[in-house]
Amino acid sequence: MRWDVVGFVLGWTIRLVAFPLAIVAAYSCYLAESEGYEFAARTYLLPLLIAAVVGQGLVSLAKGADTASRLRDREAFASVALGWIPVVLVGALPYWLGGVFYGPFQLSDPGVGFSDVLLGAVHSWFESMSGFTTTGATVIDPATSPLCQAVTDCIGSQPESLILWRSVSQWLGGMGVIMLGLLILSQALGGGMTLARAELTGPTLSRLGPSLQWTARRLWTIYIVLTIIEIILLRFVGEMSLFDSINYSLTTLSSGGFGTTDGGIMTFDSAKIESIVMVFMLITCINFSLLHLILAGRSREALRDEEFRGYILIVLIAWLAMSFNLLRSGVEGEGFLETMRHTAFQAISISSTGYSSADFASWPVFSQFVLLLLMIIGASAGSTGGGLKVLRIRIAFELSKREILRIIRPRKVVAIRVNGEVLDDSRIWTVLGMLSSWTVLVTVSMLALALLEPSLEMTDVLSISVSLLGNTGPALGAFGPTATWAALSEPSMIVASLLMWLGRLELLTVLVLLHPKTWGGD
Amino acid sequence: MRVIIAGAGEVGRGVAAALRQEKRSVALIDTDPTAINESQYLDCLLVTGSVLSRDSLLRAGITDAEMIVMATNDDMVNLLACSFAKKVYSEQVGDRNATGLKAIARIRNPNMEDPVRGAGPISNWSRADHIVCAADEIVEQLAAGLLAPSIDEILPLGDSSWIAATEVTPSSALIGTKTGEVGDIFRGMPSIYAIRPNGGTGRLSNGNEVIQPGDTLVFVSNSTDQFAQVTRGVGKSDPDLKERAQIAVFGASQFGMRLASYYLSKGHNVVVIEPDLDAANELVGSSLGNSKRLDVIHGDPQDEELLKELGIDTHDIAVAALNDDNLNIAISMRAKDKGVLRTGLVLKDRALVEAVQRIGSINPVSRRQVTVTSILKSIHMNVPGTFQVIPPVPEVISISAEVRPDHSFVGKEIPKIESKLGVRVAMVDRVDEHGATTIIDPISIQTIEAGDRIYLLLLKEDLKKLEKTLGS
Repeated sequence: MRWDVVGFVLGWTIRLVAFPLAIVAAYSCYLAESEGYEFAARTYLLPLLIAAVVGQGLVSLAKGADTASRLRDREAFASVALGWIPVVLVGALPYWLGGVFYGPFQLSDPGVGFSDVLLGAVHSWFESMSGFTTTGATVIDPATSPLCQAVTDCIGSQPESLILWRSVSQWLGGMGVIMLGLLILSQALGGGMTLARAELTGPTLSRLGPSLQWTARRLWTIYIVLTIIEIILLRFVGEMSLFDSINYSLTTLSSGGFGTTDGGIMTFDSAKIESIVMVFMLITCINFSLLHLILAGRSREALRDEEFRGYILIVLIAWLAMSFNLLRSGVEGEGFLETMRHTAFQAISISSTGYSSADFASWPVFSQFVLLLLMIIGASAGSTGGGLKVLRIRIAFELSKREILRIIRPRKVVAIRVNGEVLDDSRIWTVLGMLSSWTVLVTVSMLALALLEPSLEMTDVLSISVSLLGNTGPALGAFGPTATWAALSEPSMIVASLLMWLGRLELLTVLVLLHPKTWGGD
Repeated sequence: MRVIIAGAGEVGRGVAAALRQEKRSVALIDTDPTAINESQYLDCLLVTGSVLSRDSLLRAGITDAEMIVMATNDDMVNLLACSFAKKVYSEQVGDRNATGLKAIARIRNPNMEDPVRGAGPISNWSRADHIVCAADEIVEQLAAGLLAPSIDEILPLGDSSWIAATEVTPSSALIGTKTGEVGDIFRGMPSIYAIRPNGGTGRLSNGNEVIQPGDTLVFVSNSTDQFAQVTRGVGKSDPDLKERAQIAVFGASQFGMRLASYYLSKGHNVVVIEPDLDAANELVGSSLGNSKRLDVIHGDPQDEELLKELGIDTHDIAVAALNDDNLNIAISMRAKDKGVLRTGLVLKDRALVEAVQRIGSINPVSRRQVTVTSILKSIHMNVPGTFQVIPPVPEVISISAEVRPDHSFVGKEIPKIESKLGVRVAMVDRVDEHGATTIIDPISIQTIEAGDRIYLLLLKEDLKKLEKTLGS
């Protein structure tokens, strides 16, 4: 392993987090009445310093070295996978220092011990990991946060700048902190394609333009412009406050799912807001390359994309099936239109964002099962969404079809095609590797969670594992949309944060780290 | 007229031999001294050198040439050389815009002509006046032959007309009928243009010959649909091809793929058996692989178990299109043995075609022969000349010629032209006011017009006389 190369990439990644953190710190200073300079210094100075100093230190490791030519696949995968750890650590510090969870500044409070501060560190880590991985599972709860002992809305009573930081962390994680870094790294390191391969979610990576830097800039431009459009729509059409509209836009576009209150989107109970959010959630579940095509006036080409069509079809079927189930069982107790609205919202949201417009944990088993399937399938490859991805499911489906056919006609040659192009064996094997890793991980994590949390039921354990690996956020049963994840024990939270990390980087990138060959040799 | 041919392979030599028979001056260029040595039997100028060499072209007499045919094994060289030869020619004649030299390029890879995946239309940029890619013609000729396997010879005439030559059996209903009355008595039967009486020599039909058993008749039909009437008329029988027939193609070669494409376009089910996995994957991965009516099987075409598994005996047509002539012969014979009624094969070697025909019941097509014919056809787009030799009646040939405005044929009635020249006009291509070419049966038009392309059947010995009349 060439550590100087890894250090260089990590250094750049950490340094880049400092910039949005500084903006949030400035916002905290601006909120003179509720937060002010002292709070901002206490909360943000240390992480900012760490980001700047450690980042600079790591970058300088590679000074003078011929970094560009020394970056190999293993360094790329290692630095991308490892990059999340310092980023999440730096991102967790504001929660810990700012008092969202018990931190060093609460040690002087009566009844707060050192162990509470340690547990606060775990909670902060979980919250930060949930943010950067766009999972959207929160542990901000009266049981964990010192700020909401006597309030009804726990999240709503947290400092505004920290709520904004949560949303910003999701927004950054949505496109990938390292993808942002590519803008700079592709110049510093030359190509940077290896890094992008390790970072970008989904089985496909197609350059949109002449260079990776151009592609990254294009993707980020689309991302930023969409965010701004949603802010404007939520503010003026949805009549949200500016703060809420910014936060919900940041977390919608990243398919994160963090809200500004305990109830999240449910608090507003507004069809207008839900409609706007639904449209943007749907956009984030589409491959960003297709958005680029649409903007380039090639929408016909984009609409022909098989994965896009597949995704829309899945959502439509799920929506109709759940609506039929709910209307027939009468559980929702609301009218036809209301039911259709909630099921549509949930069918889109559960793919990755994890907002909820209704408490689906109380829906009939069939609808919950549909939601679980949607969680597993996830969104499209190349989107900010999570899950196994429609394309992989499609490939797996085609593969099983091919194998069945081979039993009948062993010598028949059958190609697996996506958008008319034949997939070569190496890509099929990668998909199979990912699917088998996913199956193993779900099984292992279910076992671990069942062992660590004896009170959980089978539905809880299964949906938690699927939700974490798919970066969805809410699960089923006791971990439904109205509950937080604070009910988990701290060891389980550490397991859960690992699963989120694995899910965000599509398992294989992280699992590469476990292979001894990654670390061996030069 | 001098014709320079680049490439002294089987195709180049075949074109040279045909042109020499027409008494044209021919120069052959090839980089390979062995190929040049093997061409010594041809009475033509032989030049050892590259067609991309000014010196070679000058030695071949490019200044006096009217036509240059690029028939090397390299498509790129063939295309590039057209431009180079024209440049050298214009330098030599001292006219930058000289148009005296026509260039014909033969390409082997049909995908090159594709306007999207290839570089087509090639003639737009390569300075070649004609591009000859015989792949489609090979497939069409093979498929036409398989439609009526009992017809002895089916040859293309123009773009969509056919010459069908076949022997009259003792059970034929045509026996005793005059050749000129066949069309009136048997509805849908194409006209007879030439006849070779049993044991006699071939001649053009004057309509008064009484058909006898053992005679060989030459029909010209403007559609493959008429083959069934010809077969029935001469007392043979071919079972009708089902609307959705089962076709087995051995080999996913360039021709195998085109055959599969041809039969799929006709609505049939096709199974392609290919021994090489990469080639099989390539076919499956091509746009053709999308068809639900296509099955690609990876396996040895000679494997008895595989043939059994495929149920080869239930197939209506089997074609061997591998790149190995001997293997193709073996496979097609085996398919015939298994009970496939229509079997065909693609051969490289022209000499093998006759041998296979002698075995009977198998329809062979020589890639090189079709390519030679295609090149000759391109040559004769500009100069009237031999278009096709009809093997069962070797005394009769077909030629095509364009009628220029100043020609004495313009405004003349067809029967008058026929009697004056001693030929039979088999087909007329006429360009309408919209620029589209239509093929017209000579019976349905009164007179020949300027710009018409006429297809004539004549005796080989009359060729010179005709060329003189046509102003060659």
